[in-house]
Amino acid sequence: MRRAPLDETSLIQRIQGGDLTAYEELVRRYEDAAFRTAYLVLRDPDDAADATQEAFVRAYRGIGNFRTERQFRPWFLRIVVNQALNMRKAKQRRTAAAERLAADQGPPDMAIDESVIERERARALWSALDSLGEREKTVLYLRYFMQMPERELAEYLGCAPGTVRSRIHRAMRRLRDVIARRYPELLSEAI
Amino acid sequence: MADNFELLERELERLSRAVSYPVTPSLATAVRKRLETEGRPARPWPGPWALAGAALTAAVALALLLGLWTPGREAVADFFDRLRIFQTEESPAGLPTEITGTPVSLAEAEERLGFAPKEATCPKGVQLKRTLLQEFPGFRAVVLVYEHEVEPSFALFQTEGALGKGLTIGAEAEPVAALGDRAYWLEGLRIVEYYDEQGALIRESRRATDANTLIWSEGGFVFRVEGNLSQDLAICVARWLR
Repeated sequence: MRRAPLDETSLIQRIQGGDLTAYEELVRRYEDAAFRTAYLVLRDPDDAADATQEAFVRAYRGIGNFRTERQFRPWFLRIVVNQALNMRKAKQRRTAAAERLAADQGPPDMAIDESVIERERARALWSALDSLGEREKTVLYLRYFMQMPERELAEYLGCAPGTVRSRIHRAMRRLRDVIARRYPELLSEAI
Repeated sequence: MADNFELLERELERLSRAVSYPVTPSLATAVRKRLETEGRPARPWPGPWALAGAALTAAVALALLLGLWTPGREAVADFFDRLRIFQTEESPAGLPTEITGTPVSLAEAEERLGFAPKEATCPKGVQLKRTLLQEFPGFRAVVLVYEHEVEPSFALFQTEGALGKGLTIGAEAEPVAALGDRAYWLEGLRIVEYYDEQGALIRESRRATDANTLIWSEGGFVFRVEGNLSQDLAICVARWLR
């Protein structure tokens, strides 16, 4: 059940006072969004769960400095994304050269409901998304997969709301260019 | 191709609807168990740079007391090695994000700065697109903006001045070995700021960035490569400056 912003503010104030039960409530409220965001970055449910848990611990450590006039979700999802990216990088470092070669084949396929989109089409789109830079990819994940409104994205990116649209546009242009180069059949069919 | 992204947006929305996410694990109890051993939320750990800053304050106070040292630009620059990385609680919302400066030629930049900017040669085929001169009272830097056919574009900053990097919550600074006198790889949202010759903050120089950054000091200069590069590629840029 969604609560009014005032409720969330009260909840955070209680957490800032050291109330762990209030924090459990906040974890329940955001664990779904956090886990899905981490999963988009990591594509592995166990790694995504670890990254999410670590992000919640880090957020608790930092929440003493969180100003309640700000929005919690973008602040927190930034911690989640950074944690997931750091985890992926650490994992890549640990990967032996031969394994890395295999990993370079691309991240594992995500489970897809094929009644919504054909598998090959989905695979091509994922592959095009994967070829974008982290910032561009993250902007598109948050906007189109996590349905983050532009106002929250502005908070996430630390930029003016007017700049968000140009960041999305830039990422979309890059995505379109990649698709045009590598998967022109997608363009002729739909784009 | 028209600059209309409606159909591409529709494809992304379809893809997002089609993703079957694994069941979200219930984390509240596990998180609570971990936190119960750590106590109430506190101010973030000040980090090694803040501790270094505290150590500096104590050392300077002692030196002043003993009459051994007078504050000046060299002391500030030497101690911080012209490069200061610190944690900050400040939100960068509202700060500009674009890299700005006056477009100049390389020769003009050299004339204004008093040194010849180094140029990137890695990755092979990298093209210098523009040169920007950043000038504030007591601070000058040159920014070479590069593009490449395949790799992401990046900006190479060079200055003899002092600069700071404020890490917001979640941002990370990782030491990088064997590059210059001191090198760090930075990720996450940060505030970039310049200091004048007396070490005072130049407020109008502040901007926010979340671009991956390799920053290092060498021979009295501070260099940084900022862009959507991997760490390996950024190190390649750094090692092959000419």
